[in-house]
Amino acid sequence: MKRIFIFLTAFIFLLGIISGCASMKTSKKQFSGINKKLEIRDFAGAISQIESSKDKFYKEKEKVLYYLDIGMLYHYNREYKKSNEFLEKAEFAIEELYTKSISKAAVSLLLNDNAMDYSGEDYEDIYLNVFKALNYLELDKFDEAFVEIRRINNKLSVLEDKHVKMANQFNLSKDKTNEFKTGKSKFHNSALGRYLSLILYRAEGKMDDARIDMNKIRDSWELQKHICDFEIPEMDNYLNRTDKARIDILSFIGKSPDKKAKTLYIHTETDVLIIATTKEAPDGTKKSVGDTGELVDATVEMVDLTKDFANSVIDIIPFKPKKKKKEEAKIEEDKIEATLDIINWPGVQKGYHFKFQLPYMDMRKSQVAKIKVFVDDKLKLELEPIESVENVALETYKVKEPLIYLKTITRSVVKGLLSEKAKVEMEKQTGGGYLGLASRLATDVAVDATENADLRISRFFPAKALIGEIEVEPGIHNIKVEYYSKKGTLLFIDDIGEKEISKSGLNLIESFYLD
Amino acid sequence: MKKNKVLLVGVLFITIFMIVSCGPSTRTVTRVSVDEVQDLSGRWNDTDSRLVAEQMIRGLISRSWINDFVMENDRKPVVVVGAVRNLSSEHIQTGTFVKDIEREFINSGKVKFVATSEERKEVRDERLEQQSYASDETAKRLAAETGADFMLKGSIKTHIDAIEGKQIKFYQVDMELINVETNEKIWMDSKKIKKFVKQKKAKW
Repeated sequence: MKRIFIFLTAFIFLLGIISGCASMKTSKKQFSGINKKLEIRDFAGAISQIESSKDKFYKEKEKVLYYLDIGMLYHYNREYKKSNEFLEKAEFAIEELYTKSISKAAVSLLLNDNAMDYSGEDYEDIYLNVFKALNYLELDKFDEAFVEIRRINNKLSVLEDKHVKMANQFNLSKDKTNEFKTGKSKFHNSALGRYLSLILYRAEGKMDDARIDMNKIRDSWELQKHICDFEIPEMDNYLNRTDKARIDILSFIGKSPDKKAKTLYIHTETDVLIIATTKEAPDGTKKSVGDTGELVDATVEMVDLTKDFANSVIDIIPFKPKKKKKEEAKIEEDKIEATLDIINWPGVQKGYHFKFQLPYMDMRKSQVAKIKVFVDDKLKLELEPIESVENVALETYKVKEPLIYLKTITRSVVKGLLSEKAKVEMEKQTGGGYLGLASRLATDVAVDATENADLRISRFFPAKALIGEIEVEPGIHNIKVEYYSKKGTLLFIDDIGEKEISKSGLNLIESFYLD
Repeated sequence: MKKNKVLLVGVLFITIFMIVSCGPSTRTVTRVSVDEVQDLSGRWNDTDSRLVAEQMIRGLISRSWINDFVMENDRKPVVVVGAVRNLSSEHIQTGTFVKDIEREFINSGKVKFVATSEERKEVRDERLEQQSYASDETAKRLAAETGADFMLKGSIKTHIDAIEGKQIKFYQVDMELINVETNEKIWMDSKKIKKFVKQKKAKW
């Protein structure tokens, strides 16, 4: 018994030490006031804010985040060479971090996912190439821009295989009744990437290749309806021959999704975990790990606990309530609403209540509803959406979500059970009283402090991309892009100024309003 | 009691390991020979550039077109390197590859070489300035450049077949020699490099 006590004390001591480490929690302090800077287009100020917070808020394990954040800000500040330097570093770091650190993964099982290297969301890996391509076009490096477009296509083709494998690896249990599946991403084709490819091929006079891209854009609306949940843009004239010069406008609006934490509760029944949105268990009891006044009857031996953990059959069963009479259904309604999942967990005993946090993606709504393009002070067209970066972000994140869910629950239950066991042992050893209360408090604080959702995500990708094409006589033209709200309020005028528009080559104008 | 000590030492060891693993990584520098083949990332590198250039030029100078030209004109052919386009999915420094080609060509001693179009601009500016600022004896003549007989052009393409953690990279370098006067293509060749790149899933 004493051996268990020493082990548990050491476990709590270890949690306590590591919970003191600031990097076990996602920090967003470095972004304070940065949205305002984006809105007023003080990109230099935003760059300086991020650069000055590098040492404090971006640790080595967050290097991908730093490169992405600073790389995107340099793009908006029209420092294209610097932007590419950082985005290239981000891309290589993401590639490098395919090899996961076992030691860090082990720490994350004990603490939380913040302990691991941030290896980038799939959508970040794809769109960094879009912005690198745009940077190269601004630097007049046509072939290099094409390299980036090819890289997007290579990455998209790898994406699905990657996640099917992740699911297979998780299905380790021999006698499980339900297959555990990762979310299946249907994002295989970036209309924005294809659009850039189309206009680049067309500028080179490779019309067959441009036509293939056009077909791929149309396929996006056929095969990815949930991502392309808006009308396909009018592009019929893109492949027609013309004697005029073409101006292509590409606009970015809003900000890509943020990650937020959802607090959920685990209530245990015999061999079953109930995942709920409220502290209240289905039987009406209300108790969490944080309640220190009352001890839970922990009778599970340490040895059995670890054995059960190793042999656990983990099946996620969607909660389907049995049909009941109307009156009964009404009474049960609140409980049902609060219950998210029931998970088979052999070996777990009734009566434990744990709190945990899950990350989720939260869209950051843009006010922009309409974008008008003026050429030589005449309204020429309204831009149409080609890609919802935020939809792609949500779709690709869906693939990981079940894995994060399962890992978090596993960690919370094991940590929770160990800490409950530790509290019982401490109570016995200390004989209760103030010392017992203090040790129970310390245990709860250590467990709570280490259970944080991993909310790391890059902050400066846009939410949507919109396009439009105008045919004009070759020569110098004045271009303005106006951004309007749903109510018709003019939000921002992007005065591009005078541009020489040639008949041959590419006249791509990029505009953005990151509200 | 002994077991308890082992447990405590184990926990202490893990704690120290975790704290130490948060620290900065160290870097060592070792000098290596420039001829040494070292593949780190699996991307196109200096070895690929050098090997392809050597093989390509070896093939080019062993063909009969040089002898035919010498017989016909009683002088060595003059070659200029045109654009070598990067049509791959990697950022390849084609400038380095062009220099490797030029070096191999010049070292063969069988052809004369003139500066590329970009290099010529700078040299022409210098010559123009000499007309105003250099002495008559040392100023170089205008319109006395050696015109190229042939232009060497090419492209680098890739085909990537990838699955999680594994990649087959197929590089194809196509080169062709074009008669500047007649647009006749007098030589074409392609060199291929295939690499299997495997990335570990886990490390300590």
